[in-house]
Amino acid sequence: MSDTQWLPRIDADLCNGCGLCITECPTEALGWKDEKAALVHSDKCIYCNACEDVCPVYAIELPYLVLRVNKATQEKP
Amino acid sequence: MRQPFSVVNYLGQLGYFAGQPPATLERIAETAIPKPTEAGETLFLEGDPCVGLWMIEYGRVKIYKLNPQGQEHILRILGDNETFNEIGALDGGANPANAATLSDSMLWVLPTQTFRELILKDNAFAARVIQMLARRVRGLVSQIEDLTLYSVTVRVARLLLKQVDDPALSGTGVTRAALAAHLATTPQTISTALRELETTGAIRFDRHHIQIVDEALLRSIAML
Repeated sequence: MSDTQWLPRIDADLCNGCGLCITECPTEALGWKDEKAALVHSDKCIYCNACEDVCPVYAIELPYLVLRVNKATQEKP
Repeated sequence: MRQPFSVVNYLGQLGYFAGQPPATLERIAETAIPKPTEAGETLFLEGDPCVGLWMIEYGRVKIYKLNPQGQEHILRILGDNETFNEIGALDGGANPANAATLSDSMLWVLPTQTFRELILKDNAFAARVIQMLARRVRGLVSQIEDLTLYSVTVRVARLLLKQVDDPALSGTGVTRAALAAHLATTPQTISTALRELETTGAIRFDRHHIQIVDEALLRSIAML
């Protein structure tokens, strides 16, 4: 999976057009397309999960990776 | 240069067929049925006749049950080189659960007859099948323990520790909604639990990464 694919995926078939995700999106990355929610400004998406959390029909997916971070390495200046 | 895909080489990489001579692997490969699938495809339904043992060359698959209202509970998420639906292939009964892809996947089906012939002819193969069944029982016992005895935050912490060591359990197709369906809760509750874990300093969010920054703390929250 390339970095460009790490974006919210909206299933237009599932989307009921309620607009909650568009209202909740803090960066206005989401907008309308054919009366359904769509990622209209992918560059603005901060992957905060607000859209996935509010979607009542589970039409939005944000896959994630779990990584182990070396604390010692992180704390070096 | 990447070598062309060979079913025989692929089968040889699976734990079940380790140590099988090339001639046997070739015979097994002849019966294997390729199943290229796209994300979101249903592979089989609970109650349908079992066609055989499924093998994942690459991709992600969820095994799940549905309640009468259509709510999903994900029993397992599987990735590359894992196998599933052994139960149906072994007892000749119907599929015990549903299966669908979480990502574009290349799958193979080893027909029930081939699977059973191997068990009857090859003691080492039969022993590996028994070991796998024992692992599955352990996994189910642990799942029941998690669901009945621990809070969502503890369950999420436990799952994160599994995910970090198993590439199949995060990445493409694995979302908070999938996690919620696995941990018998809602995506919103998963998000709340993740934020709680972030507040403790055990994990950190970095865009699509959930970073485990203090594993000892996370293990302690997970009661491990």
